[in-house]
Amino acid sequence: MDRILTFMDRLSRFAETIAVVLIFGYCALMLTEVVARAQAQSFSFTWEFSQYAMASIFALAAGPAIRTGVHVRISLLPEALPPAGRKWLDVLANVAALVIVALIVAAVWTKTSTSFERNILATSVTKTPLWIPQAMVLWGMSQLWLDLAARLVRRVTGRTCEWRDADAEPADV
Amino acid sequence: MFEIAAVTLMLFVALLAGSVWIGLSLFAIGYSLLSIFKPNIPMDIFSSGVIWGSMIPTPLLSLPLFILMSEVLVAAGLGRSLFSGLSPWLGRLPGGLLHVNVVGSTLFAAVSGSSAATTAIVGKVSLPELQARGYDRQLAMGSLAGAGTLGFLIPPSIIMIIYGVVAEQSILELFIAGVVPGLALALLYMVYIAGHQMVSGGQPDVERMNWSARLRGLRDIGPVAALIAAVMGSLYLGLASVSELAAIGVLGAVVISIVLGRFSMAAMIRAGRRAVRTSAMIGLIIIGAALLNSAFGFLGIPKAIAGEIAAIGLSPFALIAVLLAFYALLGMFLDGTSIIVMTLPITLPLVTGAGYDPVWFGIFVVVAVEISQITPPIGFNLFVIQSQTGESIGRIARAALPFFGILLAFALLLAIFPELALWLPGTLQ
Repeated sequence: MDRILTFMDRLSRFAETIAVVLIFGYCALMLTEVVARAQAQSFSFTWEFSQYAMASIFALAAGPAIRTGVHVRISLLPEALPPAGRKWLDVLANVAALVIVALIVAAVWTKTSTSFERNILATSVTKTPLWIPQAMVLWGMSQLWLDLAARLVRRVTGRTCEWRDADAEPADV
Repeated sequence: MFEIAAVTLMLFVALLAGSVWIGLSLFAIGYSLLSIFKPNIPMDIFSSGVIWGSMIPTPLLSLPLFILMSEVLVAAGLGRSLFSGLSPWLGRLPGGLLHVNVVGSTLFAAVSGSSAATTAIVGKVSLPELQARGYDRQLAMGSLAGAGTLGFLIPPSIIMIIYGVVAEQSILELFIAGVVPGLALALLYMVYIAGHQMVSGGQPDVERMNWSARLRGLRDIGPVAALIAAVMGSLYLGLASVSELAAIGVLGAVVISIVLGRFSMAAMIRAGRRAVRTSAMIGLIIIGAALLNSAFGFLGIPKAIAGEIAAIGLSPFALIAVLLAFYALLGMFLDGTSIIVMTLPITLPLVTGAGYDPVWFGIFVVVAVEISQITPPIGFNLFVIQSQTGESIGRIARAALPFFGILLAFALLLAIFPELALWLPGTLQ
């Protein structure tokens, strides 16, 4: 079991690494655009590709945010319960989250497969096949489901299920 | 409509009180409402369109970058520079070094869009320093909790970006509108601190600083001041769009960490990891809220509530007072992003219908969200201070109570004098 969980953690860490590359990447793209515009030039793809990168970041880092306890939730009731009650309420919430994320994954799958089958392209000059950025979102949301599944197994079996270290900022805004 | 309201309420209570993550709860409520009351809608196709559409709006592009900028500055240990730079200038004022909490937060707020990040970075250095010098611990914690909220009001502000996206208002105009209220609120905090210290007495002695110490202090805060000048200057001169500005801010933050000698690839990657996680957390709430708001729209809920409230015949000011109480109550249980994305489709038409400007309402809502940061049981600034001091949430909330009062009074002041928010954008136009 531990080997499977470790493998799922590695997948999650990999998705997060891609998200980090994308955030610095689209920041660099924006800066390049500013410099290019100062020389009376402009790239037609800056904004569009940045949008795809942002959507991918939201999805790819959603799972890692579960692992590090960054996603916000109301903890009023759990805190009022004894440890056993708190554990089983958390398990129930985790199961509910798995069902909800499964709905999201199914919806994103519908979007991606439709874009692929019908060869839907972006309306911009780049004519990007939309299934590519949508597949990144599908990957991220599937990773979120996997991270929730790993969290559930850990919670039920009494293992540590969240890593709130210095690297995991308190969930904000 | 009663049936819809009852099911909505039941789902909210079950999912949110059951501690299901907020973004996912909102999505589930929207999905359930449409499945139950609009069974003809093909939910997988409909929700896939809403999910994709909510993840790619252009105005949202600045959000992950402003979060990254803030994280890079945190990684560069900016808090130390703020304290050492401001101490020689503020130590002799009534209230002494307690003002570092307010001025430090004001400065950091101008390069960060986050309230908790502002509280964390200033408090990490100021709280131990103030305690070591014998300052009133209650006032130190309270002033930090209150001043940390300036992270939302002084641009750039993550909450304003979210408001701008949801309310379809100019983020640039919102940023400009936040400047005067932000500075006014900081001034009110400083007046309170000075007044409190003068009345209660017992201000610790601070060694008199000469001008060479003050100039050394300026050197410490110089890089931040330069970054603020670059970001604000580009903003007001219209040299770059808000998203490009955020990218320039990230570059500036990296340059500052190099100048301060605290740059490392490991720190940059750590900042990147934290930034993408926080962005994803906000992204998930935005996705959930987008579906919930679509469901509300389909079911005619905002129109029905607006009709009910219009039937009561509240005056515009009474409406704002009621909304303030409503937001303060919501803020006890929900975070700022959730509050804004969940309530705006209902409250914005009400407020604009009563004759208020949507940009002004953006600033008002930001102040209301600031209140939510320091109200227990869910108050993120309180959590940050708890993690730094080990004090109970109750004790920190009591310490923050005067600043809660100031925020509440300031929100009402904003309602009486909307020009506080609208004067600067009007002048610059």
